[in-house]
Amino acid sequence: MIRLLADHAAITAPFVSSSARFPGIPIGRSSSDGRPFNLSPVQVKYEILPSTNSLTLGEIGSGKSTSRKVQIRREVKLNQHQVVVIDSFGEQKPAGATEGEWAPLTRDLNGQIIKAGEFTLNPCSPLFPPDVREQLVRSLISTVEPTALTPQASHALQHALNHPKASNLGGLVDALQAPEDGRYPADKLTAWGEGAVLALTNYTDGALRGLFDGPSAGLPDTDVPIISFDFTQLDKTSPAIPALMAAISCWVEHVWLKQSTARHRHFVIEEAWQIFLSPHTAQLIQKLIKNSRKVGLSVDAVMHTLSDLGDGRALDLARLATIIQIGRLTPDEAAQVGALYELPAWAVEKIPTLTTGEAVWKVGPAFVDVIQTIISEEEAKLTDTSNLRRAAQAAALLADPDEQQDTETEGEDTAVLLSKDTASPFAETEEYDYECDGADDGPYFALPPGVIDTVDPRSCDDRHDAVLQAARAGRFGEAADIAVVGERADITAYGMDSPQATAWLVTRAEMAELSGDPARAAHLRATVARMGNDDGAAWFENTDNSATQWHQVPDDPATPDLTGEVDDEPRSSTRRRMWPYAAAIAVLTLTAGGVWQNADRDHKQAERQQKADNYKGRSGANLNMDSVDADVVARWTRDRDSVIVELRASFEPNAKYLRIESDGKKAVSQPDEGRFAQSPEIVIPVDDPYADVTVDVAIGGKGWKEGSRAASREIRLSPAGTAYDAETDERLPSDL
Amino acid sequence: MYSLSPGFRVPAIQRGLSPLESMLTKINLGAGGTLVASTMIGDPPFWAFGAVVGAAGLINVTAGRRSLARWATVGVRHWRERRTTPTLAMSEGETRTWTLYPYHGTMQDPVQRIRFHAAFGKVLTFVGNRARTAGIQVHVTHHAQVGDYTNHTQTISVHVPKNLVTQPKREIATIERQFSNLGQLTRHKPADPPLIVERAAGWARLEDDRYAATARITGWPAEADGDLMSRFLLEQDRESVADGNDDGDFDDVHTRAARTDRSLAVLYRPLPTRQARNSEKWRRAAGEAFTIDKVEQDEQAEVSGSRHESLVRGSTVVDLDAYLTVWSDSPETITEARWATQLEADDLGIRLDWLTAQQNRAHLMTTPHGASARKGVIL
Repeated sequence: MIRLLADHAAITAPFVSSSARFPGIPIGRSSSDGRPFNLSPVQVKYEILPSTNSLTLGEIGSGKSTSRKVQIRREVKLNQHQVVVIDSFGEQKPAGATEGEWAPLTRDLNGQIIKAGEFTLNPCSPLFPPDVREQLVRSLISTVEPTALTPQASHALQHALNHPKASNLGGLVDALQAPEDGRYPADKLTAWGEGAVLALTNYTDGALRGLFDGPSAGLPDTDVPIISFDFTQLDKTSPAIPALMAAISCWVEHVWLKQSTARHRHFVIEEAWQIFLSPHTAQLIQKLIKNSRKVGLSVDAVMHTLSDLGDGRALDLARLATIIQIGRLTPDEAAQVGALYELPAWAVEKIPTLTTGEAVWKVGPAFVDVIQTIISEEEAKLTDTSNLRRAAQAAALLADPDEQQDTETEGEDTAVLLSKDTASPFAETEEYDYECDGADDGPYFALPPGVIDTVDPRSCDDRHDAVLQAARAGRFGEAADIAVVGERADITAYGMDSPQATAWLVTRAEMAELSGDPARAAHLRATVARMGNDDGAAWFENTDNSATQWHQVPDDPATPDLTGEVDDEPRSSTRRRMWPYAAAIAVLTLTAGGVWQNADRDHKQAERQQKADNYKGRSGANLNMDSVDADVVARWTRDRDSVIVELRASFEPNAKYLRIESDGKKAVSQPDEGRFAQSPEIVIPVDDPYADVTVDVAIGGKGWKEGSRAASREIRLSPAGTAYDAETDERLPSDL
Repeated sequence: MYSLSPGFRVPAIQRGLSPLESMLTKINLGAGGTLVASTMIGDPPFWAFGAVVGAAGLINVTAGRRSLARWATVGVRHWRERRTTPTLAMSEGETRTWTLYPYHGTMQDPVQRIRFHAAFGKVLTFVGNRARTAGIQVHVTHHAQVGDYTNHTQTISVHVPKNLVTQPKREIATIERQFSNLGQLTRHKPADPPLIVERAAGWARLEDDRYAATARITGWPAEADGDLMSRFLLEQDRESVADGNDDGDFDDVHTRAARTDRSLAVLYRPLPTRQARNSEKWRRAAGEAFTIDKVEQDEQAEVSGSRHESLVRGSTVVDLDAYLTVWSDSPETITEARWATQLEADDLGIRLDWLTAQQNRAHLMTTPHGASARKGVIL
């Protein structure tokens, strides 16, 4: 029991988690308390989340794109939502990439990929209402010639759009150039429409040709789960992007949203800053966001940082998002985001240290948490855009060109692989997996798949050699660094229990041995054995001294017994200090013994003193034996070296026999005829005058006959004047 | 500033050389010395020497893991715990349990966390003052079920012993209103506890094939921020830290291997203000009378100042018993889980006393069923 103040005791209350959760698709796990995090914004109550538009921020490699893709995939699969994606690779765009990063996912979901330049969108489609058509064409004109649309030009455009020829962009240009008379004469209309014609010729004859015109001009399907507009082939500063965006926004608003039958729809904009920064497209997006709730749409924007947006309208657009997902950012940017969205200080502090896939989420006005998006292997294959970067990093660590090729091939994006003439990227990856150095000289051949696992990964991988060489040369720090990097790479690539990972443990054990730490080596080897990996265990038990043996187990590895009871109590320093106590006990015992001896001697002395004080020099006892009344009297001589003991039976007619005996001295007396028996007397020499004297007395009474046995008693006579029966220790009456 | 300054504690004497033992040894030495000295003036009886030597032997001669006296103590404890029944361990009375979750973000945000703890401290003070004498118990449990995701179950229970107040149900309803200010409060009926089917010194196996090892928390860190419990109980965080610094050594392997379910419970017995003041009076008097060390004196004076202030403001003192259970599915893994938990506790300055050979009902203390545990109960 511990007694604390109530204020302090409150800290010990284990309330560590809240129970807040949202309905919807599983997204990941809260990094703060490990709880699952689900969210489908459209399923959340209106009071908590008034709108469902989201913004995803994060620097390159923070996992923002992957997270967004995974969410969209789950929304489509689990909730049958429909999605339109504006897909444009950002700075990560690999050289030679022919497809956007959403392409594998779109294909997986049986969606449609529309590549800019290959598919022509018709802004003059009769599917658009007339006002939308006009708006769209105006956007296209403003995008390339912002000053072209004067009131007169607008009128000329309206006039031309009503012309039957204006069912595609080419026809519209013709109608502008050769108008019929309307409210104004044709000449005037031609003159007014010149600016618009100049602008539109960019799309029909100029650099932007092929985007909005062409023989097969039409509109995308509206019943596929996901449509990806792929801007990969366009330069990010290209004027085509705002133009395309304008067209797509209009299509989304007036065709897709109206015809789509899904419960909810998402409009995902990758690299949204490009779109937001253009005033015309920003206006269109703003309109979509404003109407989003009414039409069942979520606008999901993905971009790096807010600083790309400047201070104007684009930032206002970003402010409209109610679900913010912020991956890793620099501290300055984190502060800017925190200020804009009123994030708590702890969340802002976390943003710069977030790991890949982790993001600070703000959902609605109050919910803020750090969420790790969890993706399955299948999703990882479909969404990973960072493969090339990782491959390059791994390649830098490897000296061997074959290894380099191995990693690169393994990591290449599916889109790139498909452009090659290989049948399957994965088959190729496996073939390279354990390619040996030894194959350099000979002709290259791939190992059959079944053989792969039986090859010792260490024998194929010179990173292990590099580690050991560095360790042998005494550069343990360097060796450890290489080992850590290699092990991490292998664990990421093959898993924790893979032979590759185990091989690193083995190498580290060797390294530990070289650094003079056999205990640690034994730990590591024990770990290998405990991992249950057959290769590792087989190696561990291998005692064969052949050349294939890589290691030698130390003679007596002091491996701790991990399965036994762990004594985790801190040792008390006083617990084992036995000797002071033992010494104290010994001293105590000796002292006690000494004191006891001393006390015994004292006791004897005192007794002697007492005897000396009581010394009378005479003692006697009255006896009545065999009806004879007799006295035994002892008298100590003056020089205290002898005692005279006498048995008196004076005037006792019945006393027929008197005998006194001690220490072999004996005196007997029998009465002569008609006379009394004389008192027999013996003299006993003594050493201690204070010691008692014992004598044997025998008296024959009236019935005593010569030769018969007389009654006898042993009497102890003390110089203090008392006498005792020696057998019973009974004090005898004095003779006096 | 949060501070968990050490209060009164009764040390567990099962393991280690307890202060009681060393004190007895010193007393015995003193008695021996006196006895020897007394021979100067008289003849002491012989049995007195025998008693001193015998006592010294009992306390200090170690047979195996414990001294003779300690073996005897543990033996008696065993014997008693075999004979204690749940009715002896638990007091009769009215008990009610809720689940309680603070509002989202409370524990992450330092400011909100401080507010929450202040509110909980006030609730404890309020509960303490609902009866004339100490007795109402507040029991808080946290159970983390760890897998790919972690599920947290947090309960709070109130136990009003029989005959303490006239209207226990009314008191509980009053306390419930106080609790509801802390977060999401929902009435909860705990499931029946599983029975123990097998026991060993370090663990108990329950009928649902889980293994439990329970420790009593015997020490809290002297200084702690309010996130002590978050840091101790939220393992997901720890995992990422461990992986980040993964140098593959022995400890890492263990930490990774032993991430298992864990329960922690704290049983609070708040004192009424009057008793709290009395307690503080004696504590202070004892501190002033028996502390010789100047630094310690100053330290105590400083702590006393803040304690005094708190008490003047109407706060109270609370007796608390805390227990921690780790769960696993085999004897080997539970040993590893204990190891990993011990490492984490050491990091934070939390002292654990694994209740060796006392796993009878110890795990119950980390479930809502522990709410009615008697004070000083033998588990």
